[in-house]
Amino acid sequence: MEPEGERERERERLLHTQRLKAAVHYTVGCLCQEVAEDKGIQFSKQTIAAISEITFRQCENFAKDLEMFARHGKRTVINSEDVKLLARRSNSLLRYITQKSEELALNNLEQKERKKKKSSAAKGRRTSDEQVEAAMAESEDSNMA
Amino acid sequence: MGLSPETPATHVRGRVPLRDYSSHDAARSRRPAPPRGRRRMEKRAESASGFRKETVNKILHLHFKDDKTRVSSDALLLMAEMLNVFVREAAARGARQAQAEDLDRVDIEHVEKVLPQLLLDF
Repeated sequence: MEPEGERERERERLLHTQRLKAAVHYTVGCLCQEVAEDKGIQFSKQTIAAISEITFRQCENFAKDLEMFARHGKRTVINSEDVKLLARRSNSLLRYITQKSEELALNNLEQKERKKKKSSAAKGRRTSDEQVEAAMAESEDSNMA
Repeated sequence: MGLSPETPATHVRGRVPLRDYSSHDAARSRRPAPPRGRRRMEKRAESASGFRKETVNKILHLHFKDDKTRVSSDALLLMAEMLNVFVREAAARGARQAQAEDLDRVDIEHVEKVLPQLLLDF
């Protein structure tokens, strides 16, 4: 047991947490700026700091719940169903998240379709390229001879 | 009062809560149209400001008990959206509270008044 090593790790964890809190604070500031413009009202700095702190703390609850939902489903990967379960407390929130999840699923399908088209087009090009190469090789041979 | 009929009314002075979250989409539509496709959600998150996937991922991993736990890409995007909604709700409810008190500046006390219902709704 090295107390020095442990203290170092504690310090690093603290720095990491502080960096994340700063990132959250920046994003919260941007979002509050948008709301302020929409409503024509100002937010005091303490308010933004408070919302930032509340959000960060709420993330802890979210993370623990998500992990437990996934474990309950005997999985190690958290998926969209777990997030939807997290949003169950308010009907309108649940509707919003479900709608976003369906949009994502649609986008995933679109991407798969595009990838399929690309790869089949690429295969078509490749076979025609091979034919061209074979033809060139034959003509070279005849030239050399 | 509240987001849905079954939430009970509280006696906070002049509290006017938001009724549904589609107003967040309405607010977004006032801004320039975002690019289409899968990347629509991620790029929209950058241009219209909001939480980024990597940030959300790191924050969640900070609080996981098991090291093997991972988050799918879709779930990360959904969580980023959820956090966006959370922050916007907190800001909008605080703003409504301040406006109900005839003030043009949202202070910490307004957020304190709306905090209990906000946490219950999430």
